[in-house]
Amino acid sequence: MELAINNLTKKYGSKKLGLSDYSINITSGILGLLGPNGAGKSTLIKMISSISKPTKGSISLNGNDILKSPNYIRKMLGYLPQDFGVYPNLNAFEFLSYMAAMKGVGGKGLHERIEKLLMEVNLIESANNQLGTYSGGMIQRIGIAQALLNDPKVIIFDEPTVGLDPEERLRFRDLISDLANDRIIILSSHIVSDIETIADEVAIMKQGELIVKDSQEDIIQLADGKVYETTVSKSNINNFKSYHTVVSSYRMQDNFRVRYISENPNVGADNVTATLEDAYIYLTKN
Amino acid sequence: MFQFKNIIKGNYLQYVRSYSFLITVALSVYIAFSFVPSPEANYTTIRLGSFTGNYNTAWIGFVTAIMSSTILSLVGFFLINGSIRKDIETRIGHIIGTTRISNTAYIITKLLSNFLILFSILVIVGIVSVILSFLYGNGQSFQLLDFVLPYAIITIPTLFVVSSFSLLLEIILPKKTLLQYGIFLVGFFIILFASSSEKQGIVDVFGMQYPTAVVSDQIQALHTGEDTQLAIGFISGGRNLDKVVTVESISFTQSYILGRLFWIGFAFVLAMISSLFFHRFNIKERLTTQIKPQEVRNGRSADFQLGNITSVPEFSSQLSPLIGAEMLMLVRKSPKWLWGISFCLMVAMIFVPLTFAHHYMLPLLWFLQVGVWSDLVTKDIAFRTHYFTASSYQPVQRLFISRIIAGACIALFIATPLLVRYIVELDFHTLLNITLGALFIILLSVFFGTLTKSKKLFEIVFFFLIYSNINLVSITDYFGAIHTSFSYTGIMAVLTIGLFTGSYFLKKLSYDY
Repeated sequence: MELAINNLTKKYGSKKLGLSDYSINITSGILGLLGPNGAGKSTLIKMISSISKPTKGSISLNGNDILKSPNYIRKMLGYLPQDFGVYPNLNAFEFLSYMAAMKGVGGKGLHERIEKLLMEVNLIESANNQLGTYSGGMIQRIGIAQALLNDPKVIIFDEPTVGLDPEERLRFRDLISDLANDRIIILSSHIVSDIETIADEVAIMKQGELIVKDSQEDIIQLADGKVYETTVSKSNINNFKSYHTVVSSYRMQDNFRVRYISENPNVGADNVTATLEDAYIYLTKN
Repeated sequence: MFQFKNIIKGNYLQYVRSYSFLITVALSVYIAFSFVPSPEANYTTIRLGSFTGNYNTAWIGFVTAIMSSTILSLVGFFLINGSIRKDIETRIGHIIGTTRISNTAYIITKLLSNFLILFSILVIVGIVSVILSFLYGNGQSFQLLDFVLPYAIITIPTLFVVSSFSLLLEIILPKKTLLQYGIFLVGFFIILFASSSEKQGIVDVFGMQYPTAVVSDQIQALHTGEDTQLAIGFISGGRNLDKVVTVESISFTQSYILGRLFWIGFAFVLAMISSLFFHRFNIKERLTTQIKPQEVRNGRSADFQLGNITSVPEFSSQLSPLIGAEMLMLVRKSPKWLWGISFCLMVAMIFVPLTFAHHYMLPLLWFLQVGVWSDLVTKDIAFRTHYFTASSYQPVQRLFISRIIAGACIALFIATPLLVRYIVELDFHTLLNITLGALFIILLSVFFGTLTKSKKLFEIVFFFLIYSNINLVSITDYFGAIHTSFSYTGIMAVLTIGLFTGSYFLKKLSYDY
């Protein structure tokens, strides 16, 4: 499986750029897509999912131009949008059957697959209840189930853990890891912890451009030796934040323990091991 | 007061910057044109007996003010209804619910915002009417007060009442849009009937009785003993040139003006009473009888049970599962009581005279489905499933077509008793006309829905159609009740194909592929 994106540009109107000359090659495995709000993650995902067309550039899957033949990717696509709803008058089973029909799948195996997917996401007990009665977390799980209906070879999850409680979030990560074998999985999020535990590779975006795409280790390497921790007094904290890129801080009585990124650290600051979050902050804020 | 102004301004700006407003403007221009038919037109809007007025400022002001007070109220209700629902759907309501604004203040701001929207339409109607008065007036002078006063005194109070009544219905029936429409329509026709009658009374919300009596007296003074009973609406038949009178400006009495002010006050009082019942966005989720709350609670923090799913479904591009699912959604969209009424009417269609069943019952039965058909193609936006549909396999060729077929199947199913009667009579031409009518109304919904991404336009137009159908206005006969010629069938077929083609290409464009 190979998804090749070349020089992709998306313009909104004459001035606003959603994506700028973006190129990336994605092969089987899990790609974590990280970037702050407005980085262009959703724009990119919508174009890969054949929902919108780029202003220029190309997208091909296994050598097939999906801008010319969007149905090629649609047949093997599993997509969970960031913001989605369901038809409240249908129950879970009816909704998944409907989604299967939209995706162009059917036959004898469909009923069994829906049942098993509902079991996977633990909604089989409430499968006969209309979706209008479901909680936010249950709707999110229905969304995950519909993405897997057609045994997709390309799976795109846009902010998939929204609405899931911490336990469900952990189990969702396991589910994705299980799926990864011969598929392309694109996992977009701005929650670094969701990505760092499962992604084979990470792509970081900023202002419509790809900053880096590499393995987690190599990306972390970029921030290595630049991450420090120090203690700052309460009265100096705002001043400190205005001069340094702060990753995190937590309060200790009248002081703050601050983790920050710097080429020229303060005297007495402790150099600490960088994490993916440090690298992400380093690359997007500097 | 400053806060009030800003909230009303915000509500108003949100509406005027929406696509719906452009449609509203276009519709207002059309309404204004329809209110003042050209001297050669084959219909009139207001007649007193068989008398109509010379196109001077007083007559045009009188006609357009009365027509705005009635017909614009009807259309306007559908436009403004949903202002609280919008806050629920956008979840802004949850934020509003936590602010300091009182229920009364919130409802009053909604009342004023709704009124402003209707007032904007009224202004457009007024401007177009001025242009028409110059066009049809044969050089008669334009008297500003003769023209403006009827609007200010007759129409504006009605718009306040409609704005307030819409809010009341939204508050007491927050999740029952169809019932809101039904109650409004019943109320509207009762009041219109009462207002059109000879008896003077407080129920004259539309403010028609006094000005009509004044004009009637003027006619009586010229043609003693003639019938001057008011007829209002889109009345077929052109003007009788022997019965065109020159109407003088209407002088409004103090008691009439006070009566109209009473209705403005009533609108505010009604809004304040409504605010006592306002849910403040704390609406209980509707639970079906199937659900057990315990099951939902258990499901909330459930595990993902990892397993190996071996069953892989086959590829299938069949339309039947999609059509089936679409039909299921259409059927479930209507409440059971509405289907109960529909079934009773369908059974009645077997026994009543054929002409009555065709002329009146069929359009009424179809109109009962207005809420279902209006979101045939807009439900993806309403339920936020548009990303699923846009990334589905051949969305236009399969899903879009399935929706049209599902809608047409429901329309034809509803018409079944009538279709069977025509089959028994071996009248296959009328059978074809009804089938084309079913397709036409579904495609009209699809076309307007695709074009505007909103269901409002179709609802308004459909209401205009049913109103005209019941009044036997031949130009709006889309289901072959009045017309029996083959050329009519040809025109309907062309229109239907045109709507299909237009909708198809609009949909293709909207999907970006």
